[in-house]
Amino acid sequence: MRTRSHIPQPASRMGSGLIVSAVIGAVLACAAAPLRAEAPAVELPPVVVERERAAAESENPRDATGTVTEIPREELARPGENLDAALDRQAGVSAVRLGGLGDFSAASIRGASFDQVLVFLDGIPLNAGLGGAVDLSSLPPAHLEKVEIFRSFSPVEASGSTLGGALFLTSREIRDNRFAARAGYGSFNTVEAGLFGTAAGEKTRVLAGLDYLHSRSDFSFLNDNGTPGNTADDFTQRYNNRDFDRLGTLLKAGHDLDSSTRIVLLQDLFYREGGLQRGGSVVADRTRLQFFRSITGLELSRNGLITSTDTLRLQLYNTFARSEVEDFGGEIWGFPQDTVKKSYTPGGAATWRGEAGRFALTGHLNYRFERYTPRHRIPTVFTDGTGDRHGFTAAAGGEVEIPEAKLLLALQYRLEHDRSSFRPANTSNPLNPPVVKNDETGHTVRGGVLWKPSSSFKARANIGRGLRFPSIYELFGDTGFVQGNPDLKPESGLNADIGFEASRDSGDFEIHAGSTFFYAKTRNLIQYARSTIYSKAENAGTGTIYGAETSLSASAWKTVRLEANHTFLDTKISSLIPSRDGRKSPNRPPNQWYVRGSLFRDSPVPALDRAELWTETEFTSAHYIDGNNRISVPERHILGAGLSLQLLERRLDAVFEAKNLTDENVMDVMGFPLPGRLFFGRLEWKFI
Amino acid sequence: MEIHLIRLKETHVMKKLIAIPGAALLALAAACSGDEAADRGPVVLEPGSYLAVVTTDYSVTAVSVIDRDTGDLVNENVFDSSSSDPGVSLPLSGDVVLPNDKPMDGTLLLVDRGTSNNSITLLETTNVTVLGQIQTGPSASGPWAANPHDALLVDGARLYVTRFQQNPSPSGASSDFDEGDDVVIFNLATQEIAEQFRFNTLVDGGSRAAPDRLALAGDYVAVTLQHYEGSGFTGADDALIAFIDPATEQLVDTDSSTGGIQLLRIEDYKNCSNMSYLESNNTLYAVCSGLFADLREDQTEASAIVAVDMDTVASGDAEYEIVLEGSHEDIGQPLSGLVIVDESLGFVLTYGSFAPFENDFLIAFDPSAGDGDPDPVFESSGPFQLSSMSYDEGTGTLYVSDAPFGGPYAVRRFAADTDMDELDPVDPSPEGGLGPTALGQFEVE
Repeated sequence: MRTRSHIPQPASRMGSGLIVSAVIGAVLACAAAPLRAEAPAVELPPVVVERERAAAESENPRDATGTVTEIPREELARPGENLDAALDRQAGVSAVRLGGLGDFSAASIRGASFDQVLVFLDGIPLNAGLGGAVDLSSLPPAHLEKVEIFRSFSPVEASGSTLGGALFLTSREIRDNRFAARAGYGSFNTVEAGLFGTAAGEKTRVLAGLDYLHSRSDFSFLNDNGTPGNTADDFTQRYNNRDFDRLGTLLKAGHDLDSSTRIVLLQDLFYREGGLQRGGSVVADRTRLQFFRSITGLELSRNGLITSTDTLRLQLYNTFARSEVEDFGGEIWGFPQDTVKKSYTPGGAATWRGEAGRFALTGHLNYRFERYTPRHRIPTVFTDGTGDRHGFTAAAGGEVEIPEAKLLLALQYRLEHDRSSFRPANTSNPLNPPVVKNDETGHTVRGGVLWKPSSSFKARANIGRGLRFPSIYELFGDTGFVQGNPDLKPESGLNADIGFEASRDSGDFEIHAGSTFFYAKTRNLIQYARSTIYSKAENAGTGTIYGAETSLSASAWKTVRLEANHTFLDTKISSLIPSRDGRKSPNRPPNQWYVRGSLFRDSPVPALDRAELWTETEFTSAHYIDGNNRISVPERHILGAGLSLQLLERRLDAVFEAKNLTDENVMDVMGFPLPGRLFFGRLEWKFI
Repeated sequence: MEIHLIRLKETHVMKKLIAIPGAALLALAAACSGDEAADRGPVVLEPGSYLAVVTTDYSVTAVSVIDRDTGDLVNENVFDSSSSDPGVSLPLSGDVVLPNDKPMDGTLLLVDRGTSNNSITLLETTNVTVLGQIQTGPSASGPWAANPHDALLVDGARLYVTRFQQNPSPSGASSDFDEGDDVVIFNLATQEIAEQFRFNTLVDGGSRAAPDRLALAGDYVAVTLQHYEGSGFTGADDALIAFIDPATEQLVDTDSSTGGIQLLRIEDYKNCSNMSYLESNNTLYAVCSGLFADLREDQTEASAIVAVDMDTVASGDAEYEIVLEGSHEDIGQPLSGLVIVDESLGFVLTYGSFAPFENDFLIAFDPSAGDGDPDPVFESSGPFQLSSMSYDEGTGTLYVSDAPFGGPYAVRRFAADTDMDELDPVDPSPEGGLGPTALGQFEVE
């Protein structure tokens, strides 16, 4: 039998692995040990007495016991990057890209599938009922204040439970009067420009942002001519249809109705037009994709409704998305397509949170409706129709803090109901499904504990169930070669994690370290089975994931900083589909490292307020990229470097970055090479 | 397979690691680097008669080999999608078929229709090594998706290929042979196109030829043309069969009473595909499946097996007759795969259906019986499972691929005599878990 694998074999690496782990484990232990020694000093009575919920104070307000990472705006909006890049640098998160800047990208958290990760913008759910992952390239980082990564679990105020965690994106916040403009340029004729301004009155605040990005994205790749077994015909090819224009606007307005009541309007528009590739050796010369999305939200929040500390938040929202693919030559599918797909998702949510003494309660209701309408302007094998989905969630969460034991306990319950239906436009063709419906209800429970013996050490553990309801696509197919399966059950699973964080700050030296072990088991895993012509989604298997994420950051003398994180992941699928049974999930590298070292200095010379020079490297171990575990990609190291300067009383920011310095040829997804070496530069001028 | 042993070791090691306190230690213990590529042992096939089975999950593909004399699985992976380092495409995509015709001795052709590949792989059969891999849609600006549907080695130097797809961006120069929707002949010495047969002026206006399968029928190479209307798959005209004289590399006129080249038109039947040539009566049999986009009744009405008298093709007055219709009262389904054993015995597969739910059938029929006298032999457990057949004259065994949704997968074997006893099926991919989709015979001298 012939087999071939680049996949590292842990059994053969145990010796060196234990040595490495022992060394770095010792480093972590060193970091934590003095902290425990300091614990008595921190356990001074006033801390406990004055703040009954002291343990919760410094935790994420949405999820005090969860493993949550917050990525601030400064790390999100680096030049020449989509949101996926900032996420990919975090422990436990892995992103895949289908090419360069303008191409589709998605993130997986702790090895979950990409469509198991929930994504929200200001609390508005972005996952489409049609299914699939949220395209992170459609969320301009310039318009985000922060991104919170909720690993394995979703907070009470999410519209659903999760099997793969959640990304909460917060749009730029309205602060004082500000106005800034930026412009950048980089490899492949990449041009970015942006304007951002806020105006704050006594009661009314307005924010407007505009983000434009263009790139020819005409990078070269080694084309194997469709014959990897024949290297004589290989040649270097440059893409000529990857160019794109991307425009995003953000409008936010807030008004204080009284001292405790505030209303905020959000309008986010996004438009992208660009070339579309199908991947592989055949380059599509003419196929274009247009995508437009509008996110509208209206939020009313009121403090002190029942008690002096409670908050009620009411939200109405609507998202509209329209995509159009023009492939008149049949470059992508083999037959011409001019397809328009639209979806409307109106919804509403109510969240109440109150605290009383050592207790905190959160309640959340959410209803959303989604209508999905594909229209094929050129007759093909597909039949048009309308897919509808009603989703309802009721969730309640409680926290109780036990100061005597330095503990915070959290419990969450959620009821979810989804009703989906599909109505084909032409029911006379028996190949089309009749009007079909799927009703599913699920209950999930989650518990968590946070132990915080001192301000510099904490440990946490969580366990709970999560669900993913089958998508419209999985339930009803595409009326073509994908058959529907309206009998599908939701994917359901158990997630658990346990970990610690330790930190020490002694003036000149700061160190922070943390590590978390996680485990997930998902039943009724939805996988596609295929016969000779048709595919069909089935509740085919069980997926097991376990792993660990470790992070370390240290800085010294306010001049040197080192950040590193590592994710270990192991997955296994048990499936009724023989080709998937006993395999690992594809695109889940067992080991990922990110290391960044930087030198920085405030006011090193006159007129220069801050300078930072950094280098970073990402290591991804060899891993399978197909579900049958037959194809693997070798390990890769991507090296980058950059320089950032703040000048003229911090009014001018200048950033220069080089990515993939060693010009590695890499792919996240088979057939979609990523660009090689890239250079970007950006200037931002703050007028106010 | 070695890969599974590795997986078990890994799990065992990790279970031990879990016992080590501290998640950091666990994380870092696994963080060791260094890859080890598992050796691929050499493949050596002893002289004998074999059945090649293309197995796939539609992402990756492997070729397994069954000994036709013993019916045993010899090797489930003599060549697969990882047989050489992947570039932007795989050595084999998830859409590979075997040629309609039995290959020349000592070679095995793999027709890779995958949209990233569009290639023909020529394998030497003793050690299953690559003799050549040819891009079927070559052009100066990079390959285009030719979607080859079949390949035929007429001799050791000329490779016929049907290119189903039209090139959306041809160069316009006739010498580039890059229009597609044609049959091309590759010169194996140069791996370049030496001849091209375009049908655009020979099909109905607004239609495309959509060349499908190739068969050596007596002195000619027969080509089934699916003859779709427009650029999609929602309409089709009468099926066509073209004949090429390999001696002159010219199209054969099937109706010399009219001017110009005439293709053989199978009136009222659509979408002809697989063929089987019977030397004893110099007859070419072809199966037409009807149009999938039609209502099922209409598709079944347009499905039949036709028999073309090759003597009449040679005389310029081609004649054919219908030997079995899909609408026969004992069938009532569109027909798919075809094997002709002799003048009085053939086998055909049928397409089942999801709505109404119908299984596929293997049907024996008599090509000489007027209406075919069909006799169901085997019923699948679901629709669209039975896709390919191969008949071994040496042992009188009929092989049928059976790939249900999610398995279990089998190459079914039948003693092709009067009783049609089913022999023990063979799982062609017990470790790989891939389903069989195409069968083809080859010999190792």
